[in-house]
Order: sequence, then C-alpha cells, then structure tokens
Amino acid sequence: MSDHAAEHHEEHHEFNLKENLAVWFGLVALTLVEVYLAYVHLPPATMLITLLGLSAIKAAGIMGVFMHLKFERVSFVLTLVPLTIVTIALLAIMFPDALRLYMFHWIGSPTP
Amino acid sequence: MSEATAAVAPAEAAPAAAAHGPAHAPAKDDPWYGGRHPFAIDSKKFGMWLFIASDSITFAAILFAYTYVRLSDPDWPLVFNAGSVALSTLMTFVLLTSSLTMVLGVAAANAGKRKQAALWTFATALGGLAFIVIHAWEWSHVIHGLPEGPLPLMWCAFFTATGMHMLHVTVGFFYLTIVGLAYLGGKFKPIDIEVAGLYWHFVDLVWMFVFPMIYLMSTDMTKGFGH
Amino acid sequence: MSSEAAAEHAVHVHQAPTNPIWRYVFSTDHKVIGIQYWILALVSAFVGMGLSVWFRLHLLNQGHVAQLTDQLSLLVEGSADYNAIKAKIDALQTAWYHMEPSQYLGILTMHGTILVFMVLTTAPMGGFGNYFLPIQVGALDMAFPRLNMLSFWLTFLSFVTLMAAFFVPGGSPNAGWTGYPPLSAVPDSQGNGYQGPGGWGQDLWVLSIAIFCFASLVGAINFIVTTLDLRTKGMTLMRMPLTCWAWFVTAILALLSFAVLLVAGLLLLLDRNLGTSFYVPGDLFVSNKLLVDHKGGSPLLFQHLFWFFGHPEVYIAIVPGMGLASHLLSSFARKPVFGYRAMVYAIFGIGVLGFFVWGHHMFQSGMSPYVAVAFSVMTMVVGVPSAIKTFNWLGTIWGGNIRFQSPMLYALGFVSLFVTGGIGGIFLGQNAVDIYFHDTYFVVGHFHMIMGVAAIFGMFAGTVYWFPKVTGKMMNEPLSQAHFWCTFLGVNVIFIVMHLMGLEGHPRRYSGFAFEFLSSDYMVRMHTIVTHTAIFTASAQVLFLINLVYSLAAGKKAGDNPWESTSLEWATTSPPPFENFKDGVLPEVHHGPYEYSVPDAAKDYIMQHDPPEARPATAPAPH
Repeated sequence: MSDHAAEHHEEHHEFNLKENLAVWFGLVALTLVEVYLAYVHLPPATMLITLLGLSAIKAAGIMGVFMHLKFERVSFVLTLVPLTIVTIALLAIMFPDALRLYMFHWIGSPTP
Repeated sequence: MSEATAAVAPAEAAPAAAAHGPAHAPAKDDPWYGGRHPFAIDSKKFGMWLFIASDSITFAAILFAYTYVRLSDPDWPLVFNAGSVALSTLMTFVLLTSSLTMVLGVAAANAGKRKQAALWTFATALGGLAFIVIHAWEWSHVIHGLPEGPLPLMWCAFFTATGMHMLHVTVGFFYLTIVGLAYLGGKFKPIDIEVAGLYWHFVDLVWMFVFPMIYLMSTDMTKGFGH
Repeated sequence: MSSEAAAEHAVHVHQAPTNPIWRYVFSTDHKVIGIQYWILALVSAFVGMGLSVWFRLHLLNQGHVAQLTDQLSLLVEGSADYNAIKAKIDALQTAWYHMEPSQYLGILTMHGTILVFMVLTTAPMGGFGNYFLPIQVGALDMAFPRLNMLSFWLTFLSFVTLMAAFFVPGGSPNAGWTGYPPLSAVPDSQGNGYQGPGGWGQDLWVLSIAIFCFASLVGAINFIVTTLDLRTKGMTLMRMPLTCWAWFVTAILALLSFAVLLVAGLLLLLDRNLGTSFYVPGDLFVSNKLLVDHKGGSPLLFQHLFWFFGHPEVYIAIVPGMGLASHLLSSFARKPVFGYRAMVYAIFGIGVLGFFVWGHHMFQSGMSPYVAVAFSVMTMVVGVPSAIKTFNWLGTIWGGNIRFQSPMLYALGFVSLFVTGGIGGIFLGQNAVDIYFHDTYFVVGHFHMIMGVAAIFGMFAGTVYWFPKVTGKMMNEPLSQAHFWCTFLGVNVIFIVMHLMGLEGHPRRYSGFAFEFLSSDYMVRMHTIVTHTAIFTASAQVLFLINLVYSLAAGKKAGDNPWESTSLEWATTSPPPFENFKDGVLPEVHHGPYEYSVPDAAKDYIMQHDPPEARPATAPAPH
C-alpha cells in the first residue's frame, strides 16, 4: 500500500470562507421562501414540485460546496451522482399503483 | 515498489516493451492505470460517499413510501399549523448553522489548527444535540395529542421519516464527539474530521427534503399557532 | 531507492497478529474473513437443503394420503380393507416427517430465507470475493479491513437471529421468504384456529434481514473502494479478470438495492410492533377485529419495495457465478475469453437492467397494467446481455483445447443450468403468460434452476478451482467428478419435473392436496420423482463433504499454479502469506487477464505479472 499512500495527493482546494457563508445564507433564504410558500396555498402538485425544486437547489449547494463535490474530479461526480439519482428516480414507478388505489378510495368515499 | 521492480528489471526490457507497447499498452499516467487512487481522494472519503449514496436511497425509499400512501388517500389531513412550522423552521436553522460550523471545523483541521478544529466539531455536535432536544420536545407534544385507536397514516409517516432522521442525527452527535476528541488527542487525522463532516452534511441534506415534504406539504396555516 | 521503498514497507505492511483469536476468529485479514463467510454459507446450505428434503418427504407423504383417502371413499366403512387402509393413513399422518400446514409454511420460509440470504448472497461475494478480489487486483488487503470484519460478524449475527426464529414461541415465520403483508404485518393473527405468524418468529426474521442489509452495505462499500482504489500498477480496469468485474458490479447492486430492502423491513417491523399501518389495508378483519379504522396502507407498497431489492438480489446471486464461469471456461479451454469487453458491458447491462424489471414479480398483484407492460418489455430486454454472455461462453470454448477437469465441469454445468433456467424466464417475463404460471411449480423450478443451483454450481466451481490456493492441497478429482455428475443430473431431473408440474397448474406453497387434480396419479408420480431425486441429490452432497475433509487431510500437494491460470492469485504461494504477496511486494501487471495460447509465446499462457517481453511482438493485440 506504500505506493498508494505515497502517490495520492489530495487536491486540496483553498478554503473560501466567503463562498461558504454565501451558501449558508442562500440555504437559510431558500428555507424562508419555502415556509412562505406554505402560507400561499398552492395546489398540492404545484406546491410539491416547487418545494422539491427548491430542495434540489439546496441539496446542490450543500453537496457542491459544503461537501466539496464541486472540487472533486469530474469522473468521481459522474460515477456517484447519476447512479444515485437514477436509482431514486426509479422508485417513482410505484406511483401509478398509488393513483389506482386513489381511484378505489375515491369511488368508495361518500364525499368525493 | 514498482520503482524497485523497474530498477531490477534488465535494461533491455524497455525497448522490447516499446517495440510493441504503444499500440495497446495502457498509458502509465492515466488515473486508472492502477497503483493510485483514480479519483484522487482518500479511500475513507470515497467509502463515506458510497455510504451516503446508499443511505440517500434509504431515505428516498421512506419518503416515496410516504408519498405512496399519501397519493392513494383522497382526503389526507393537513395536520400542522403555523406554530409547528415555526418550530421546524427553527430546527432547520439549527441544522444549517451546524453544517456551517462543520465546514469551519474541516477547514481548520486541513489548515493544521488542531484545537480550533476540535472546537468547531464540538460546536457542530452541540448543534445536533439542540436539534434532538427540540425535536424530542415536539415528538412528545405530538404523541400527547394523538387520537385514540390505530395511528393515522399521516403520523405513521411523520414518526418514521423524522425518527429515521433523528436516529442519524443521534449517531452523528456521538460520531462527531468521538472524532473530535480523538483528533484533539492526536489519534485521528484531518481526513477523519473531513469524513465525519461529509456524514454531517448529508444528515443536513436529508432534512432539506424531510422538512418540506413532511411539514410544509401537510400544513394548514389558517390553523394559526395554537395546538 | 529500493531501500527507501523497503523502509516504507516496514511502516505499511502490518504483521500478522500472534494471538490466534485475533488471527483466526476476530480477524481483519480478508483471507480469514473469506473462509469464515464460506463456512457460514456451507453450514447454511446444508441446513437449507435438509429442510427441503424434510418438506419434500412431507409432500410425497401427503400425496399418498390423498390417494389412499380416495380409495377409502370407495370402500364400506368397517370392512377389512377399509381398516387396513385407514391404519396406513394414520401411520403416514403420524410419521416423523409429517407437518402441519403452518409448520410446512414455516419450514418453507426458512428454507428460502436461509438459502437466498445466507448462501446465495454471502458465499459468492463474502466468501470468494473477499478472499480473491484483493489478491486478483494486487492489493495487500481490502480497503477497510476492520469494516470487513464488522461485515462478517454482522452477517453472523443475522444468521444467529434467523436461526433463533426456529425456537421462539409461535415457531418460524410462515409468510414465505418474500414476507408478504398483510400476513407478515399483522402482529397477532392467532385466535381463529389459524396459527399465524403472530409469534416472535416473524419479528426475528425481519430483524435478521435488517442486520443483513447493514452487513451487505458495509461489504459493498468495501468491495467498490477496493476495486477502484487498490488495483496494483498496470492493473487497468480492462485488465481485471472478469471475476473482479462481476464482484464489482455485484457490489454496486448490493449498495443500491439493500438500502431499499432495509426500508421495506423497517416499515414491516414498525407495522408489527409500533402500531403503524403502512402495509395493513383498510377493511381488514382478523379474528373478527377491524385492524385499522382509516383507509389503511397498501400491501402492494411492500411488494414494490421488496422487489425493488428482490430483483437485483437475483443478480447479486448469479453475477459472481457468471464472472467465475467466464474465468474458468477461458482457463480450461486454453483460449482468451471471447469478447472480453462485450462480457464487461454485458455484466454492466445486466446490472443496470436488473433495476428496471422488479415489477415482473408482481404481474398478479393487481398492479397497474400499463406498468406491467413496461416491466414485461424491460424483462425481455434482459435477454440481450444474457445472450451475449451465453454466446461468448460458447465462443470461448469453441475450438479450444479443453481440459475436462472438475472446475471446468462445474463451470459448464453453470452455463447449462443458466440457459435451461433462463428459457423459463422468457415465459414468465410475459405478463399475459405469467398470469397462468404465477405461483405454480413452474416458477419454483425456474428460479431454483437459474438463481439457486446455477449459482451453487458457480460456488462448487470456485471451491474446486481455488481450493489448492486456499489450502495448498488439491481436491480429489474422481470424487469431484462423481459429485458433479450426481448433482448435475439430480437437479436437472428435480427442476425440469417441477416445470412440468407447473405446466399442469400445480400451485406452489401448498402443504396438502386440496384439489382433486393434485392427487391425480400424474401429480403424485411427479412428486415421487422429485422427492426421490431430491433425496438422492442431497445424499450426493456428502461426497462433496467427504472430498473436502479428505483433501484437506490427505490431498495431493498443490503447486503455486496447478491449473496454469494467469491471474495474480496464482502468482503467489499456495496458501498465500499473510500479506498476500511475498514480503508484501505488490506485483506489477503487464498483461491482460486471459492471455492463453498467444501465438509464438514461450508457453501456452502468459501470466498477468510476467514481464512485458513475455508477449512476443508478433502476437496480435489483446482483446
């Protein structure tokens, strides 16, 4: 393992306080926007999509800057991120079933 | 030790390799050549990232299960009010701030400032503790107000998702405390702080999805601040 | 400079611990952990096989009981014949292997769970992968030796938890290895004469699975990091043996799929113990009690989550076998693997597609038909990479100088079973056809063939192939060959007959013969064939055990490279030293993994660490 230890140099990125603080402010601001949206009363589907969009931006901020992903090699990001996102997205195939169940419940319900 | 092999290997090996080498021999400076880390990151960090990938799928599955039961129910109750949203916003703020202190801790560790790094790490752990305390208070409140009989699905989802997250925060609290102490004692290296930091940011990241999906999607603001 | 390197070694190469407890029990050495996994799988395999013989006997017995009962109905009560037959029935009903229906289901559940989790998942990855992945890529150990130890001991804990389910009040769980709710989710379904999974058995089952998920996750992380980070110099990805590729893809599958099983199990545990109702539908009455007063959750949710894991799990079981089969066919046909790159892409293709097809287990669940068609099409698509692999295997041995030694036989057996079992998959993958075949013996025959015994043949192949490396002794060749033929013929008879029973519509998981056509002469004859062959095949496994013990004690001494293979594990001594390679000096790789019969080379194989000039300049470029 000696050659591994000797050869690998972490490509350390200069710590940028300003950038990190900016991300933190952004995260807090987006959170407040989300809370504001809860007051606005959007239809559930619009609300969900908006919230998930905002959360995705927040997640990107956390992963990119706080978790340093922005400064890793592109090959690393491409190995990890699409894999995870596709797997998670696949779970959405369950939803047609849930909506079918919705129809059953809706028909069975006295006040649709 | 490949240098050693090269030194021992007879000199005529080189031209022989060169004669037929370049056509199909892999480039020695390629990051994937072997004998080096292709992503130029420490194995521990890579391992933690893989754990995070897997764990994010776990959380995703929980949130998808929640969405599934919710989608299939035409009259899903909006159980939260402005008061509970204010509280969970405070929790979000605490968690976000602890992520910032974690970033500062990792930066200090990488700069070799041992004491400062440990202090920031402990501050992060304290943030986690504050989150747990507020959350536990909220839980006890909710449990008090539960209706008789079988648990409504909304609360099943609430307790499962936030419980799983709280479990991660609790583990993170102990993890950070131990790593901080061991780093202060000189047993651990800056990379260990960094890896712990990755975990902590991930816990924060998960909350960025739990908070809107569990709280904000189930809130009726007209209910005001009362319980 | 070399002394500098040596000095560096003194720091990095760990010494073997002297205390045998740290050396051989709680060891962080990947070789010891690999053997531990392998032994755990061997014990589990025999437990699981024993259970199957037990319920096969019971089924045969029930067939006879059903036929005798038919005869009884034609006779006058009290006559001599009547009494004789009655006595016969009573004797059968009190035989030691007779089971109550719930007990039958319990044994069935444990058979499935033990074999799927403790054998098919642990042995190919935890066993062979642990031992040989680091050596084949040229590393001193796994990337995280301590996590590796944790992974094994968690698996062991999971095994003990599962075994405990036999002995708790209520007995073993009886919801099947898939643990479908609401049967598995209803905490107490006793009191209506039906002894449901109300005891702790089901809880322990879920707990065991959850622990197993965690162990697999830790293992998967270790495998992926080892494969990518610890390859020795010159071991580019496209120079890795296909076994390493297979373990790598398997690890990715495990990383992504066990996370979802964990959630399925977690929600089930909460449903059972903490009063949630994710899987308990509304309007469900048990023992005249309404379980939830609201709309309730959905059992289908569990099926989705379970099979999201469940289908990749099938590939977790079979893909290492594919890698090993490719490795062995090439090595024993003395030819390079036909289409190495295509093999790598096919393994990846199977892995990726494995995530798109889980719904084909649920065609009968009442799922949305649009989704079912999509799943059906994707399932057919899996046939493409599978066919690429099959034809490349044939291409590999085509015109080869085949050595019919036992590892080769097992590898060919793997290919044969994979194809036979795979054909059944084409039937079951069509949602229209599956509606007839679902939950019949056809399915049982199919998945036992492709996921069960094919993967087990991969393990047999691995065991005979690597036994000399692990122990320094050869396994006994005639015994291995006898074992191969008995087992190969046995499993083919058993599972092809099961396919036929399924064609006739025999439902699975039935402990008795509820319908008249099930007690027909045809079905009972089929059951007789299956049971007798099962007993024969199970007994043949004793040959394997004898071979192991005998070879360990008195086997022929093996050289460093008895099979004349090329990969790095044959570059070290048999057994390998604690640090894998002599003095912990990692070999440098100059050649591809399957350089057999290279034209103009000095011998008919070039090992991966041979110097570059071992491959003559006149030879054509590899792959």
